[in-house]
Amino acid sequence: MEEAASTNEVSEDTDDASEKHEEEELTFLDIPWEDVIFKYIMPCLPLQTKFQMRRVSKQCLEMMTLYFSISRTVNTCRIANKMTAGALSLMTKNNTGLHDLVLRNSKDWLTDPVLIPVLKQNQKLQRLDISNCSFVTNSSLQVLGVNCKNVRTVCLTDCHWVSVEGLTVLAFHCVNIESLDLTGCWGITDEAITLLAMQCKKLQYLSMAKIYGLTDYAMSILAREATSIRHLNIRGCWRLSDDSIRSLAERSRNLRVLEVRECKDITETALIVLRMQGVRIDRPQPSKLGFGWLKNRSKLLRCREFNMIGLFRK
Amino acid sequence: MLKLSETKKRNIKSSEMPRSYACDKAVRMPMIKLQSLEGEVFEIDVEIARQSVTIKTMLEDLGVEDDDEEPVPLPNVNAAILRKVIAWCTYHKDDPPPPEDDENKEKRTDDICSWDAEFLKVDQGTLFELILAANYLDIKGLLDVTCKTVANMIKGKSPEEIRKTFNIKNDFTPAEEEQVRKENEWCEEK
Repeated sequence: MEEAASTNEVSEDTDDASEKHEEEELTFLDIPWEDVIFKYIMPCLPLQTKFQMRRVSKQCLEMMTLYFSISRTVNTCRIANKMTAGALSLMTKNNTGLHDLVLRNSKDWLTDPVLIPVLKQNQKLQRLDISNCSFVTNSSLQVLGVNCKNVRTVCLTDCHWVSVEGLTVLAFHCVNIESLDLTGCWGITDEAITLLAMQCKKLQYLSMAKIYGLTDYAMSILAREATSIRHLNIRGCWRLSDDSIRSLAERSRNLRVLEVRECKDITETALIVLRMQGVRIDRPQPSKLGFGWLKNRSKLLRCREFNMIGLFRK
Repeated sequence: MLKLSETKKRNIKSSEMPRSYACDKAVRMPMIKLQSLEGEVFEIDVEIARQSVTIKTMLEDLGVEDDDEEPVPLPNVNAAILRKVIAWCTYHKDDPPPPEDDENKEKRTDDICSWDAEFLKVDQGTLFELILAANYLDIKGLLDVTCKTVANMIKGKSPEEIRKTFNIKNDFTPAEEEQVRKENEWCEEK
């Protein structure tokens, strides 16, 4: 009996040891959630997999809910055609600290009622990309302007619905914008660009490609007021002429890159000045300019105005 | 011959040291002692140890000197794991600093080198211990590669497959499970 008791004790000890071993053995959910799983494992997983994790267990659901609530970035580009309004709401409902919201190509499901609540609760937003989101309206732009005053980058490529009023509210409130893409925003006029130039003094990248209503007048104001611009895209703005280029040459001291393809009235005579100032232009420089160019070059060298611009840019 | 500890105490200059010691010092790599949870001491090259930001900070802030007799205690790391961490750091001692990650992009996980892949062919418990040790010791490269290994174990799997991989119990009620399944409908493969 005593032997049996001692055997049981040994057996209990062995069970205790194996239970202790099982208890001590680490599991996936023992890894620190915020310091390790969110920072090092989650960035490696596609969005669908993150959603699949929600279904594994209650603790996994709790972990993924926390993860979505403290993420700084929401980027649905890769699966824009599969995403839904419900999925975006799930990801953003408890989040008030978003920095980057990239919803490019969400043309089938992204609307103002889905986007506006996210903008209202994320006042620290720095980047918004709603390129090619056809069903959003200027109401969202106005909410962005009023609520997210520190936004730095706004992409509205092919958002044909963007109006003067929408852009005006944005420019008026978000004076820290550094990068603005208005490619294909046909509804924009000189008036909106003029206001933008006067309000947004930190603008470095501006695309106005395919804004067909843009004229030399707006370009002259832009050149005078938005001197911080380093990269300007005016592709397809067919109304612009050499006058615009001269305005830029005179005033835009920080310009480094200019895109002018399909601007049929902008000629090499004007562009050469910018080239000589070190600006990279997307239209290749003609290899044989002929004597006419030489004549113009010597004229330019004698020109006082040209000398005031300075030959070499840093 | 004087012991090094004696020369330091007496503040004796290296030029005054016995010649054989001075020559010895010129070729000797500075070393540091690390003590695991169980008390086992590992002596390693300081430059290898400095891959750990935790140890590097201790060396700088607390004035822990090279060749100190006292080992640096690492009570959070057991001997087996510390041995593996040291092996990894030794292999990777000449690696350039890892680049900053772009938060907006999904990180790739197919760039684990063959040595690391072989090194990390361990059971899950050891893998997770290595992650905890790399986090405690703040060794970004090791944390990166161990976490990528775990991410590869999760990628592309269904919830049931993830449960099996990590031995996680499904503790949802049927109603709860249905609710979450509906919320996830958009991402199911069609």
